[in-house]
Amino acid sequence: VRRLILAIAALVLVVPLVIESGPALLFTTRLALSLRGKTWEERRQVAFGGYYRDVVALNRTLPAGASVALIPRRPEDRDVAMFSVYHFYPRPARVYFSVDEWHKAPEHPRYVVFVDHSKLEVGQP
Amino acid sequence: VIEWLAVAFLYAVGSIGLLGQIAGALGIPLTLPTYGVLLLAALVVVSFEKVPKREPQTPIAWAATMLTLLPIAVLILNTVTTPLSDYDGRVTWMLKAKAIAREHSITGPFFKGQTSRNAHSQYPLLMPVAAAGIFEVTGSDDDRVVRPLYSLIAIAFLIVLRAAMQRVAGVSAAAVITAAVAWLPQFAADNDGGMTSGYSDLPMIAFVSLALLTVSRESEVGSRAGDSRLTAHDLRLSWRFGLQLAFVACVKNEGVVLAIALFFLARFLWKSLLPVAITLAALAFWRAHIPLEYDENYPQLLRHLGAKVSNYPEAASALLSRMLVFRVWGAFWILAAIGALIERKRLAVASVFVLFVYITTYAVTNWTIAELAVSSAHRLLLHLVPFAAMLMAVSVRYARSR
Repeated sequence: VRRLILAIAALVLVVPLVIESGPALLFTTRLALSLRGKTWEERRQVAFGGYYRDVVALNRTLPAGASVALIPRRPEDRDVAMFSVYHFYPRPARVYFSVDEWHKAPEHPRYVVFVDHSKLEVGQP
Repeated sequence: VIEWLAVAFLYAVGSIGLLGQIAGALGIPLTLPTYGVLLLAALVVVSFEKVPKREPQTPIAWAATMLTLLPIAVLILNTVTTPLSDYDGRVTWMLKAKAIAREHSITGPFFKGQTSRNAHSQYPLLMPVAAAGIFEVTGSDDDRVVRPLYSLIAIAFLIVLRAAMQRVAGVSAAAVITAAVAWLPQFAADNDGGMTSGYSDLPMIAFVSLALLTVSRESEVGSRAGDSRLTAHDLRLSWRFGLQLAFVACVKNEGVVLAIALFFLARFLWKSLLPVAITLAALAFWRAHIPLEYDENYPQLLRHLGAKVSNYPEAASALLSRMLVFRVWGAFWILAAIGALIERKRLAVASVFVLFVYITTYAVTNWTIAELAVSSAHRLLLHLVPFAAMLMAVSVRYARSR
């Protein structure tokens, strides 16, 4: 009886987790297989979406080492602004949640980049 | 041999990260020669680790191992094909690693807040220092060269946790519980904090599991802690365990809480706390030079605890209710709770202590508790998984012994 209880406990423990994680692991596998044969830049564009392509393009066109201010267009674009800091690195980049915050900052970067999920644009605040 | 490799790998990563953090705090440049010295020091630490005796496997253990290998296979495939795409891995941890590799310092312009946004500026840097070592050695700043480090830590976590449980509950039960942990959606399927991420949560629970392995190997030493006739082995053990606690305390802020719980659990000598004290002193010295940015000031928040006691019910509900979210945890916490009721000793008390401290951080936060719980609760619960798995292992032993 004790062995049966332990066997049931093992099934109760493991089976639901396999059922819940299975689809996500399948998705991860499919994504990984679909990325084979692509360059890493292409893979990043697939994984991150439109904004990443713009980060790469802006990094090429802006003067080397110039700091950028990243201002999300809407509150839901804040995450993309944060990720862009990473992709801009080592170019200095800071996130300002509004044009007003950028204005008030004592030493704000000269180049302002407006951010949303699909694109990044250099703009005049 | 696999157990030895996993333990040695965690020792190596932990030693390089820990000693690098201390060296960096003292202003020693983190350059390639420095990393060479750190690697040598790590090899000395690893050399004390003996290859454990191999336990014969049962058919159940083999089946559970096969099941465990499926998420590991997906992890390896993801590591070699897919860019790092999680939140804190990019916003916090990997950016710090890149800055260390570029500036050869943990007190340079990035950490002083003079260049890019440095999220959670005073977070401990064990993992970024270790990752920066790989950037240094490879001469690359592409995060794909560091992804294998995180993946190997995730795999080492499962191996070491299984080894710890095996000493308590035998090979079959340990293998089954490990399979469950490997398939936990928060571990296997969550990109933010799970096995494919660059967060420091998984390294932290890997080091917790390493300490639990030491506890399960050497449980008899704890019962002799008050005995004056301690052997050289006991003293060496205290140092080794202390080093493991220092890894835990230096990988994430929450690690200090987990290190206290582990120390309480082990009942090893007070000497174990010396490496932790040295580490935390170095961390405090470094923090004194780094402006606090984009982070909660918990010491200050805790001063207002009295005024926020009324937040406890909401904080407790926000965290504890997540344990019952079936699509994330299945019956994992229910079985762990049964294990705690059966054990009713130090392991259960240590787990409840960690849970209480986490609830307290929710109670004192300046965030909306519900909002904070959405972004962090499941990840915080992941920190308790090694304790919960051990509770299940202990309850299996109890069921067998009755």
